[in-house]
Amino acid sequence: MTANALVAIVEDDTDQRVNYCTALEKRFIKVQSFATKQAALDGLSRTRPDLLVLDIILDQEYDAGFDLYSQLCRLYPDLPVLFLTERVGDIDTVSGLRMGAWDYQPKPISIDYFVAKVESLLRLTKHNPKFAAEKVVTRGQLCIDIHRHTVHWCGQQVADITVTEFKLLEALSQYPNTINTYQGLAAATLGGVVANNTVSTHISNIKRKFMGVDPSFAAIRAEYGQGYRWRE
Amino acid sequence: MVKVTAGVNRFFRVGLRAQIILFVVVLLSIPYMGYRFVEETRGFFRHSQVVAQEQIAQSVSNLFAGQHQLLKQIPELSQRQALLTKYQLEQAPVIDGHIQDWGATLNFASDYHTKSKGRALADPPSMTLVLAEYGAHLFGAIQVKDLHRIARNNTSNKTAYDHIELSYINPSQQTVALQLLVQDEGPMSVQLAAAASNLSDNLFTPNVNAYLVHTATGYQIEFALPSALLGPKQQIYMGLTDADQNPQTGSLDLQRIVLDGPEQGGFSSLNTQSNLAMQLLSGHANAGVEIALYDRQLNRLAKVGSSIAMYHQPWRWSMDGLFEGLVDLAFTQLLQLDQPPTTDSGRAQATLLNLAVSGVTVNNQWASHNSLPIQATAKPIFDAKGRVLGLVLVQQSTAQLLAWQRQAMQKIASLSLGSMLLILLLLFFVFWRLAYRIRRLGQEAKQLVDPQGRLQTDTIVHETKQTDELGDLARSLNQVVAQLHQNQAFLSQMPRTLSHEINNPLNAIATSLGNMAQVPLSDEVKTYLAMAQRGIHRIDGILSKLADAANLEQALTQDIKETVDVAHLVSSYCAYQDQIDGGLVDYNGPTQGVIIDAVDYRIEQLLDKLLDNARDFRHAGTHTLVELRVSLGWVEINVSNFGPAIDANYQQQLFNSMVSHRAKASPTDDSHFGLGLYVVRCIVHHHQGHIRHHNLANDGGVCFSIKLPALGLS
Repeated sequence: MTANALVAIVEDDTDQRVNYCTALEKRFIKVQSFATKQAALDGLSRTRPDLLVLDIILDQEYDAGFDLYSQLCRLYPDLPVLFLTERVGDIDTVSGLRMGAWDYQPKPISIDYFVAKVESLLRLTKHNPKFAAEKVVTRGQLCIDIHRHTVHWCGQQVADITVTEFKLLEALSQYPNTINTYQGLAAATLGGVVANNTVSTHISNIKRKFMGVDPSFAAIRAEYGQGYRWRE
Repeated sequence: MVKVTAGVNRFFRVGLRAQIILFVVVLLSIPYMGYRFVEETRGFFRHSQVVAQEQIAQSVSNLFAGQHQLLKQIPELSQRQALLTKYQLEQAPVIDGHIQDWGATLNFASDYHTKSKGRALADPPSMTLVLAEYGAHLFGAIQVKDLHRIARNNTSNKTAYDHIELSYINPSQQTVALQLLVQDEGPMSVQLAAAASNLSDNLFTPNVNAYLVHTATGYQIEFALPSALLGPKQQIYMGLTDADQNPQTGSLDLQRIVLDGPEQGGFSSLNTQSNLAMQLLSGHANAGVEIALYDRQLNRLAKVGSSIAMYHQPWRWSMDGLFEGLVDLAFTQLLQLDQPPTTDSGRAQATLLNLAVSGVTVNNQWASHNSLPIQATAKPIFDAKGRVLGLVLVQQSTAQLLAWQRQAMQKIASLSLGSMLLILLLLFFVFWRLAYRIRRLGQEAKQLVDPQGRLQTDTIVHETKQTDELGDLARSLNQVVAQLHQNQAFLSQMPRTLSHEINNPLNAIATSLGNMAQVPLSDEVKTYLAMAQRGIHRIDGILSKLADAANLEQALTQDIKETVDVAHLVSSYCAYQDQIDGGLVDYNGPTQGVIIDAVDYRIEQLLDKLLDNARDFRHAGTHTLVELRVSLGWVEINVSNFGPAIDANYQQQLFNSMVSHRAKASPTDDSHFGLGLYVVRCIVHHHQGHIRHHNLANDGGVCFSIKLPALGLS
């Protein structure tokens, strides 16, 4: 499904870099890996990858990942990126998302989650052979384009939905009027260990973005102690 | 270590103790220095006065040196007898009771007062007398202060009446005693005292003429008698007898004034004041200086000036009220200022003259009869052979000097008092400022930590640039705060740092295990691989909890509160927990209609932590009770479990991060870092609520109670 796609991995830790490469190559995904920011900049200046997997801290440079992504964005404005980092602070997340990051995954990450995340992101790129065929899910006023990764509410697009939020929304709306447990929603994020309040934070962000389109939005209901429910 | 020394000049620091000592020294030095100055000045002036007196005395002594004719002694005069001075008139006065024609001679009039012995007189008489000579007559001018005249011919008591006594020893050595009767204005009747009881038969009208006129305060008498009536001893006796009606008894009381005679009935010798000597002395007379000339027998031959003439009393007790009174009292009684020597003036003067007659110049001070301080210098007058011819006595009142001193001390007292008030105000301001600074520093110190004892800042703002001890204290405190803040920052960052540092190697292991799982493995290896992956997962969970707790406070600030039905939240939450917990969670309270302003998933997170805590520490099979109440604008949520109680020693730290002091009721594999209650506290405080806990009765368990502000009921 994602064969022939080119994923660039920038990771200064050799073991992790090798593991990422090995896992992706087993899925027939082409991989370019770099250990330093400069090497990545040189290499990626010549070849545009379909997805950039980027560690934020490279060597002793604390924001090397953000810096590198900024420079690459000048060359490839629509370059999708997955930040992988041991930095788990919210500020880092926000900083990444403001730069247009497609997603963000804290370390440690299960290699299965990693591969699934990469494949998920690659499906959104033009190299997805099914990209041309629309797959739209409609739940009342909600309209989700699975492939285009877009969300509409009452006919208006809900902007700035991140990949994780999209996954959560997709999971929520899949079975309307039933309770989606925290565990189920956490699994949908394709993350590692995801706490309940992390899920709640994502849900809160989703609700806020929907209310930007429709202030009376109340389709997501908290089922306290259990999870969330999409109401139709 | 952080050192804050900016702006502190350590070379010119004035400490608080130094400031106080400086104030006290200034406070005490002002009156003391003033007192010393006045004392020194008074000593200087007194010394100058003595020197001036000695110079005057020396000048007079030089003037009269060898003047035997001016200083000849009166041989007949015994030392026990007093001397009455008769002056030389330039023209004969008219005996008409009016004494203006006496001219400047009146200036030599002497005052005489009643010598009261024990009984206070209602209207004590007084009189002045001056005797003078012109031609062959002795003249006298008497001024009497007596408002109640009792004339002999107007009273039935022929022994009690107003009269002047005049006695003399005639050339035949017989004593002739006369009475000049006080009557109406006009020529006075003169009678022999021996015939007083039989006036009609013994009227005596020798060549003694007397005339009486009334004055506003009494009467005055002018008389004349031939000098020839007096014998060679030239001795007379004069006195005033004043009769006054006793207001209590109605009878007439007699009061007598005896002139210079040493005792009643004693005679005084008449001495002719030498006009030449007077003229010579007058050349040295100054205001306030009395110069007297004595012969070797210490008979006063001449006197000019008055020692009290220059004295002007600049202060009075009643003058300026309480302040001056207090100052006078203080300086007079406490500092012994302005106190004339208590020596008897007559004895002191006699002592001084007796010393001077031995040929030495002496000076002394004493109080006059009216308590004025007198400074006196006596100097002998020598002849060519160095024998003492007589003495010159110079007297001067030091009242003016003492008054000046008192005035100066009053001014110094005023200045000192003003200065002290000013300094007290300054001290008050300094101490007020000090208290303000201490209070401000205390408030800042109090605000350094939040109710949980965490530092809110890394620096002290106030007082650190001050140069005194308080500045030192602030700088020391600042260093401590900076160090504590560093430690706190290190501790608060530790979970995040730990997570950060561990995550990379952990990720290498996790991804390696993930790849390993993709290759064919034996069942035994797969078992171990699964165990390793579970371990990685647990470590991941631990690090996530640590990181979440470390990031919680920051994350809370990004939450947006909204109205939440907390009754619905808690009841539905408990209902679900009861399902998954085997029916061991009980809820007691309303199921809807209690509104608060909150972040619902944070309240949910809070309940997660409290119920996790209750499960961890409850006895197996016991229930966890959740209650919700609303009272006085607050929503109270109580979570109780039956299990071990909380040690009283750790109750204050219970809500701090990574604190756990209860023994678990039933051991589990779950990690327990004591972060749960810390998270609860953070969330409660973020919602402006309170949290407390107490052990249940008999230490049978623990109840955590949360209060959140309610918006209302619906």
